[in-house]
Amino acid sequence: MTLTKKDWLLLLLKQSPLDRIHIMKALFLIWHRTGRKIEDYFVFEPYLYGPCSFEVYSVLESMEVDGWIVQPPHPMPQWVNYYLTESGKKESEEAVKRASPETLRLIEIMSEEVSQISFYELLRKVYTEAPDFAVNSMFKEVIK
Amino acid sequence: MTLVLVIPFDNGVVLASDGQVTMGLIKTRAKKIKKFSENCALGASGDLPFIQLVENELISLSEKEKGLCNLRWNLCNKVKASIEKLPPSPQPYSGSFVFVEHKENITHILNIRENGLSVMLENVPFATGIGEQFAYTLLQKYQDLIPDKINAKLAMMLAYKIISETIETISIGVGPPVDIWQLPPVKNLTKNELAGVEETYLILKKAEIEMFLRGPK
Repeated sequence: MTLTKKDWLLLLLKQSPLDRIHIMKALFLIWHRTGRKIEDYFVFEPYLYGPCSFEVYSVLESMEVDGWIVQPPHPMPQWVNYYLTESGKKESEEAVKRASPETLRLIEIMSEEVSQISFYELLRKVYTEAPDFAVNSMFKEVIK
Repeated sequence: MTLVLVIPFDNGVVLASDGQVTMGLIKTRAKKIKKFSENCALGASGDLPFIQLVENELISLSEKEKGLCNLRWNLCNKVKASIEKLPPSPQPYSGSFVFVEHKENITHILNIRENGLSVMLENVPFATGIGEQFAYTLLQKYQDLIPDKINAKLAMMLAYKIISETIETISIGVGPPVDIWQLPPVKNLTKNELAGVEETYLILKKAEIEMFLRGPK
């Protein structure tokens, strides 16, 4: 069964709470490292900070409205991790049933990898692995 | 109060504003930039009753596509006439209206004040509203890049950065959310596009701090 975009986010956040930048880059690296072939997945474009799928923002917003994810109050909410709520955790268990063991393992590895590095290291990793998605980045000359 | 900012780029122009409206003790959110015609956008700062009256007057204006150079005096008269329709107030009404169009590779910026006085500028950055001095200070180091050395995305990024830093610094009169428009043709950025620009701004902010800390000790 094909995973929905919300499923990918649920499975990622089930592993570890992440902020928006780390979520964006983790989703990109999942797509990139699987040969850039995932059905009904987010579409990435080379944007000002590297790979970006604008749809990630609206799916996250929709999941907040669904009551599946939440961010602690903060003056800069964009820098704060998203956490699964109780209903989000239940939904993520359902998503696990729809995912293959390989997919779950990939998400686990990716979550572990991105959650332990700073945004600076994360950008460097993404730009090194996928230079074609760094072409429009404002930071490509700085982050080397 | 407000901050409205205009940043021309190599083949167009970006118009941006903060999103806070103050009514007495109450803060709320409103769009301060509107489409005036297919080729022209309008931003305004000042007293809300005055701004709304002028905007209503302008809706009925004919031949909006004639271009700002041709419409200038008519627009000035509309603004001047509008203020006379308002009831007396202990404090004079204030308003600053910015019309922006991009034609034949030139950005025209027409600023009309509450008394009908106007200034027409070409291909330069422009700011009006309570945060204008702060915005010009932040813009200073980018002056030589505008308009030829920056593209649409960089102009949006710069506009977002300047409006955000002004909001973060000034305690009254300006507030989120940042709104961005681009022309030609006149287009308001979608919520997702704004989120992308915002993300870039936040990364730039973090990168600036990291670069500073990694510099020579």
